[in-house]
Amino acid sequence: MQTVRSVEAKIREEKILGPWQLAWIRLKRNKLAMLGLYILIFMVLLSVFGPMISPYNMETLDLSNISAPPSLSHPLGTDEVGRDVLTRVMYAGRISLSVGIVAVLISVLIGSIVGAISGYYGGIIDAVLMRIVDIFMCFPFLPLLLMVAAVMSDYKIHPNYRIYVVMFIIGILSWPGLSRIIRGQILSLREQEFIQAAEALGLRDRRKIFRHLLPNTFSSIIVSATLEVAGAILTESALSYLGLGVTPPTPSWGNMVNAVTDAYVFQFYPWRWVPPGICIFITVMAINLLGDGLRDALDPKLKH
Amino acid sequence: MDELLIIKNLKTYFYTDEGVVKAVDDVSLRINRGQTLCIVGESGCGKSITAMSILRLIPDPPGKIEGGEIIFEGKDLLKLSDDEVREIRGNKISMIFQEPMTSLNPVFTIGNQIIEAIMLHQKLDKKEATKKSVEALKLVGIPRAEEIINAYPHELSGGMRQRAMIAMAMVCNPTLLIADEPTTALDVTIQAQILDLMRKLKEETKTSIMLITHDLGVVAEMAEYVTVMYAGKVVEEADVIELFKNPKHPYTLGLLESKPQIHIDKEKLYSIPGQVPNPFNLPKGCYFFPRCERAMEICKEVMPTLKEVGNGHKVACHLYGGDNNE
Repeated sequence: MQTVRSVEAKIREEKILGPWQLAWIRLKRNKLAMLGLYILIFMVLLSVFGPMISPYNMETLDLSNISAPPSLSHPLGTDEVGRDVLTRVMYAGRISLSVGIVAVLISVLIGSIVGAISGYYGGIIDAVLMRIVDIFMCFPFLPLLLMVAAVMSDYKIHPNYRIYVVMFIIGILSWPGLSRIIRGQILSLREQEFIQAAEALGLRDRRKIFRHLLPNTFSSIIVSATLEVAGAILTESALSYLGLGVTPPTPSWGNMVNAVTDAYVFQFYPWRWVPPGICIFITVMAINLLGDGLRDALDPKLKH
Repeated sequence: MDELLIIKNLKTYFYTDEGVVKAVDDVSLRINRGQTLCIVGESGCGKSITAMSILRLIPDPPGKIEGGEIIFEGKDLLKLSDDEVREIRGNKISMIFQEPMTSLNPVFTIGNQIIEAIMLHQKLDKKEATKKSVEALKLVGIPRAEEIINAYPHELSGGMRQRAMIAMAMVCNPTLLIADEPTTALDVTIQAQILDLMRKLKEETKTSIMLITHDLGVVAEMAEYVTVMYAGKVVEEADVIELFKNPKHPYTLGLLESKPQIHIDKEKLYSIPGQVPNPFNLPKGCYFFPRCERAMEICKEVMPTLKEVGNGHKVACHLYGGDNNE
């Protein structure tokens, strides 16, 4: 009797786990992915709260202390006009991470809507949307950006606003890949019986697409969005390195690494370009580790 | 008796690259209020397409309802706008599907899906809808309904899921419940439970049921009136007792013959010879003619029509043509 009661109690205690909780449990078992997650959280905290704690402002000049090597008061030294490199790296992290995240949000928003509509309706709508996707995929990325950068310089757009343009461009140019993934999934999902059942309940198309079909693709959206954040950060760095993205005085990891173009800096002031480089490297690596871990955790076929 | 649904000369065709498939060809049937109608037939005979045509769920293209009338509570469903049909779906007419495993959305809880059905058709707030869905789950005999409401479909067994589907279908008190082979995917004991449940619900709510099945055992247990379909056409219809006692059409005879019987010891189960005709290349006369053991010359040339042979029993076969009843 005692045991029966305890078993019953146990059954009652057994919590029902949702798919997200299960995925989280699987993710927690993946050490590399968790390492990635921790590094990422660290980088985010550093960029968000670091500048608040730092005694320096990102634009505080100290001309008496130019290109000083790391010391106690400037842990990563100073740059060519005496600004604290650590503070700038942390500020740059804000810029680079937010460019990555916002660009991906834009891309996910457009990509999932276009993909879902295209996959659900099929036929002519699908053909038209997918041709648009093809056109976007053919856009020559760099020349386009060179053009936009030139236009921005011509119109003397303030550097603070340039980052929005960079976010927008990266977002606009990266949605087609995602929309193809979503479309493919929706194509197979819409044939499933639960969609027929939803239709038999009298649901409207909009509700069927956005409430019943898209949530079923969330796991692939999350995985590709995560990996895309890494890509966007790299793209932003590359563009800023080339002077086409975020331009000084606004710091970004890319334009800070740009200091390396000077052979003298390269050789004698490594603290000016190594830290932002390392930041790019470990952030992108952390995101990729996390993305791979999420892919494994969210794939229902990999239940071990 | 009071008629709830009348289907007159329904034609649902599918236009494929290889040609036109007449999935439902000139089918007429009716369901009275509170009645259970069974549609019996082999796979691909058009039973499901008939049911889906009622709710206008035929994927278009390639499918198209080419003609006929579906009169439900005095209104022709085929003439309603999409919005008006959507009002009826899940509200006055609801449907249960064959596969309980895939008929529920895997990423939402059972409760979410039932609440959605309630809030779509009734003006209730979320709290009331939640309460109502717990009641609905209790009604279909799900234990611990307050907990199951937060469960995801993958956590439930097939029988439980089918119960949840029935709860979802019944929650808006439909006047007609279409059940498309609701027990085919379940094992026999669960099958009996689900059928019992449907019978109980029918008695309590006076809902009419249109039950689609290929299992004559289910028919005997559930039906009041039976329609036998073959290759998109109705070949025989009768009261359930009349049909089992006095089957007329050779196809119905064959179906009954091929059912295992407990008290008769047979070496091998009877099966109807031949195969369902190729839908692109149907015979000119009676569609059943190539497989019929009692085929006559006329069957090759002329398509028999549905004729009354007494007792409300209708059959489409030349054996019973005119007055020369055998």
